[in-house]
Amino acid sequence: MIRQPIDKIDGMAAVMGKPMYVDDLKPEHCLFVKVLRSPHAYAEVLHINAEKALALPGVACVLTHEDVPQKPMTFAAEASPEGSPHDRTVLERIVRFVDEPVAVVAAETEAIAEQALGLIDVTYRVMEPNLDFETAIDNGNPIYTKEQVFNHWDVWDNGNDFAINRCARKHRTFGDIQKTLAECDIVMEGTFRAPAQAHAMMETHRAFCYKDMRGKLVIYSSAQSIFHVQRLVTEGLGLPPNSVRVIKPKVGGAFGGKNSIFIEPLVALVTHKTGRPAVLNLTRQECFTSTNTRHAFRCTVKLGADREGVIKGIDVDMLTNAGAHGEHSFDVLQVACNNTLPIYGKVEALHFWGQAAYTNTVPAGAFRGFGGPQSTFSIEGAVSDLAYHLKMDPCELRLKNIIHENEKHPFVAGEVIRSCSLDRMILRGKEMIGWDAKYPCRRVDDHTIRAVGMSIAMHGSGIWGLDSVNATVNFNYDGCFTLFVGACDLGTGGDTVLLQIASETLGVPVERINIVVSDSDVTPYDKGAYASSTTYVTGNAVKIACEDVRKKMFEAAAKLYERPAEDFAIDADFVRTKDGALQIPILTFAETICRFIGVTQLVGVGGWKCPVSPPPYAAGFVELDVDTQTGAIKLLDYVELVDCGTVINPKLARIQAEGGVAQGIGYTLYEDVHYNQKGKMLTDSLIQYRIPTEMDLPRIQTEFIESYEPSGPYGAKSMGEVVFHTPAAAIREAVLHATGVHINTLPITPEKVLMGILENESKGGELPC
Amino acid sequence: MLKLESFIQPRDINEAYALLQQRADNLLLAGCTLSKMGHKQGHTGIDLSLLGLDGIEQQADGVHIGAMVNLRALEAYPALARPPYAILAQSVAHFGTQLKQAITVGGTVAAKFGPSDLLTALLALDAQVVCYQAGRQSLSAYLGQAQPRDIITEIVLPPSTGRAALQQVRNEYADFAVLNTAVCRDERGWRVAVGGRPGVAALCRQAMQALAQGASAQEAAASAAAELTFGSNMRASAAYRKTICPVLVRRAIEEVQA
Amino acid sequence: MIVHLFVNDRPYTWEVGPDEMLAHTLRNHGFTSVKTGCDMASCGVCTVWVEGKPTLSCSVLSARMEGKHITTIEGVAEEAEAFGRFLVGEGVDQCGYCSPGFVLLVLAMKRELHNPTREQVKQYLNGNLCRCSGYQGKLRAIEKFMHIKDA
Repeated sequence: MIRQPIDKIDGMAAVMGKPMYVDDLKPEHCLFVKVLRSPHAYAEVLHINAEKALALPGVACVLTHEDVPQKPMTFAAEASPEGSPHDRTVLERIVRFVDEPVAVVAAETEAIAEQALGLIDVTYRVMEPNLDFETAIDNGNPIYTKEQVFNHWDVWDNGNDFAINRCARKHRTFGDIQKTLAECDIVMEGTFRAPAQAHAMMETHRAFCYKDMRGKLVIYSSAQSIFHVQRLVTEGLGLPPNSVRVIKPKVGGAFGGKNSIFIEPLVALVTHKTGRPAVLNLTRQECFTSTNTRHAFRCTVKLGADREGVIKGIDVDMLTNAGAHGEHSFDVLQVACNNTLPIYGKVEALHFWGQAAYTNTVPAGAFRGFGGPQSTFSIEGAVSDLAYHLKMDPCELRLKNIIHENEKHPFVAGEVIRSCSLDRMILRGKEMIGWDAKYPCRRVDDHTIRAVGMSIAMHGSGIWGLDSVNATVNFNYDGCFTLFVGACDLGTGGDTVLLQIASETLGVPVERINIVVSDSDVTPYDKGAYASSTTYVTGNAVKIACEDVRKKMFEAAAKLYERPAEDFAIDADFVRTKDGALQIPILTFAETICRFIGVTQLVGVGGWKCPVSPPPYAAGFVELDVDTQTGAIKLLDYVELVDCGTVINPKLARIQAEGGVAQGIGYTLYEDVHYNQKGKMLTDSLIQYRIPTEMDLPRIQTEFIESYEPSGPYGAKSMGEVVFHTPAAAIREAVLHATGVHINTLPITPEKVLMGILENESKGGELPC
Repeated sequence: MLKLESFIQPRDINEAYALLQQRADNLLLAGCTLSKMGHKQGHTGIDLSLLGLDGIEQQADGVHIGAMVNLRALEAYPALARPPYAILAQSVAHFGTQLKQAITVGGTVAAKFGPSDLLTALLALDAQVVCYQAGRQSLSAYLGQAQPRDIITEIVLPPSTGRAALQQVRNEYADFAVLNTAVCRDERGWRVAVGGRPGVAALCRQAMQALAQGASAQEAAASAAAELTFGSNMRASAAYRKTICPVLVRRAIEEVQA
Repeated sequence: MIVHLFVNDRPYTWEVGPDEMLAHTLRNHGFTSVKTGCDMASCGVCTVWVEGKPTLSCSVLSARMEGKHITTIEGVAEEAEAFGRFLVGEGVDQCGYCSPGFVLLVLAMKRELHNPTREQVKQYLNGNLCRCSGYQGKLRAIEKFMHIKDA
């Protein structure tokens, strides 16, 4: 079943529109929840008068900060204890971004709930917001006080210093960067920027809650991690343990945007207070303005090399916009450092200094890549500039510097890279795009220049030293198996891939294995779907659980048939001995076990903790046209090479790669989060915020060059995030080749390109061809 | 969001007009897409679907396009497939199929939407706007002045056997144009229209005059850029729009002259 | 107000509000295959057919639907399944949320466009956003389903 392109197990049901998503499954007679949101970027809520709203017929409740504990927590649905600063509560008294929730209303219909919103009077004391992350740190206007922030400093040195608006800090060094740079023949320096990015998943954030027969709050949520949601809702509402059950049905896309508890506590709160089921579906506008974004950033890279182009030192100074709350901001800096720098293996010194600033804007959080894209754009941008300066083919420059399999890197957990096909990927990518004939550029007509560019990237598979997941597998009386995993398939195909791993390990067809997922009362603990974990981390747990149940089956067979356990094997429909002497239909074997006195149901248990985070790799190549008179860019071709170790399901892997590249192209060319001067997000609809459409995208060719990762299930690594990273620097490099313009701020719009060309012209520069 | 207290589907345009005049917050409903985008709130929604305004007819004085004709019907009408009218279909090509099903010609004109490529194209084709009360006026006049509350019944395209071209720059394929231009030359002379400035389409009269007097494409294009005002918004700066305006106008003129 | 309409050829009589949109009316009456993504005619996820024409149900007033014939994916189930197999075959069901609307749009396209080129297909479908797939696999599925051969 490994390397088999099987269909996703729930594919046809989804395509035919079966009721599978949160809003399709909500109970009848649900209360509809609507959220009253702050119009101010920074304000204290002095008084809330809900009398008129409560008097409106059909309104069940109006809840505010007075109804929830005010002990600071984090919404980050990741580790416990979590490294993010704990700086928010389910409903706040101090609101720190426009559209932050102030109150929730629950009513019999959505229309009544909306009407009730308009009847709630709130008195605010408006305060001066910090809206610019580049000046927020130490600007004398801290937006938090000591009582409002808590950190697990015993576990995480996250550098949170709210007194100066510093949300988080990451510092990591190797060698002596100043000395190394001073000794380099060349030091390229560049400052790179990108705005926030919105996830724009097609299904907005949705959740409903009801009380079950024993009074437990059951939450169905379009979420990425059921156990973290369970834990955080319990904490956020101050409930006793075992009060909350969380179930994830089908999710209509997440990409990290559902990796924090934006709405689950609110529906749970309503059900908790009223006893009635309640549903909250965020509108598209709320999805933009009140959940989270990718971290906007500014990053200065100094890249030191010798005149042959060997990169000796990399110095990264990164500043991100954490927004109003700090969830994920520390980890994003961690990833920006740890999951990007180890791609270059000849360095003698490295220095990473990263800070995240608090501002009164929409909180930044988890988004595919998680700091990696920002860091990759910057470092690869500096590498492109080095190649340009040296008049060296950028592919040659990369090949000269990349790390190889079995090499060590000081920033890599476990130090040695055990699987890497990056060198072969670059060579193959060159072939596929026709690099040698097309590098660097050529004239098409009097206003069009065509050029190529490339970029490489790495990421991680799971979070080493932190992630732990479990799986269990029952051998059923009917000869079939049931796999229980807490993992969350977000449309990523995780459930299918795990079934393939189970099928391979057990030796039975996929059809014989049921999969029960994502229910905190039923499935064993799993961290959830983030940090590219499902294939690598949960996959390993599934493999171990299946090996365990096999072992138990053979021990039971040994007792039943009086042959040593190691003599047995499973072969699709049979349990047999390897010598062929005994062959028992698996159904008969199962039935026998159930009747056999003294043998309990066989359950395999697998737990796996992540000791390393083996990097997957990507190499992206682009060919594009630049209109030199308007700056407009037309993408012609994109080639993406991926190394994710063994490719368990080539079909699903291909789609992930294509989709990741498309999102990366959006980040590079079209997507641009804007705020007005009062901190209100202007790009709050899919009309204003542009994600790529069919006509924007060129053909995207993908190819997988397998390596073999010894620590992964059947040699696999994960790949969900790394496929996002290459377009930004590849497109930037192609534009550089076409125009001589170094565009260091995303998105690369026609305006930026043209203005760059004209500026070069005014300084006596010429177009390259 | 679109919020209404009541909905009515008059079968008689007199009735529709009376309802419109009854309250300042009564809304005319055509395709509803711009109303949703603008979060319109009104008392009574007056649906125009049953007034028989969705026909296209070629008459002696031109092509009469009913106000409720949607963009799919517009792009499919055979008589509009030839030059110069072909720029109409071109101007709406970036819309999705379903959006073209919803968006109406009359709704587009009434909204005077700044980045609308269709308005720029209609302007270059010397379109006339016919309103129930106010009667006929040029699209240029309609766009250039505030209008009393009225119901557009049709748009009329004068007969033309000329050539036209459309040029535009957008940040993303289906996004609003950063700038658009339409140029037409026919029996009645040159017309140069620029829209998405971000202000709504306007004729460049000095450029048109220059072309009539034999100016080169380059000269006329420079004149167009000089006589218009440009603004900045999220999508682009005034400086960029001013810089690409002569490029786009020149290209459109050259395409017409080719 | 009361509206009499047909959904998948069956007659219904429904009470609807003056500003109620068809997507919500359909969902409230059990047609949960009609998804909502943006409520603003900008994503295509809510696509149904009205009188056989692909329509954004989030932006159509239910009050306008008197006497109209509406088709959801259940109304063209056999053909939808046939095309659906190609989508699943390419793996592009992914999160699946945009799929039912997309299928209806493709089936409408199949009825309208005869021997379209790849470009014409892309142009026709351009209003339906997908955040997961990058569209590549969707186009492959369509090319196989409709036997489109040009480059």
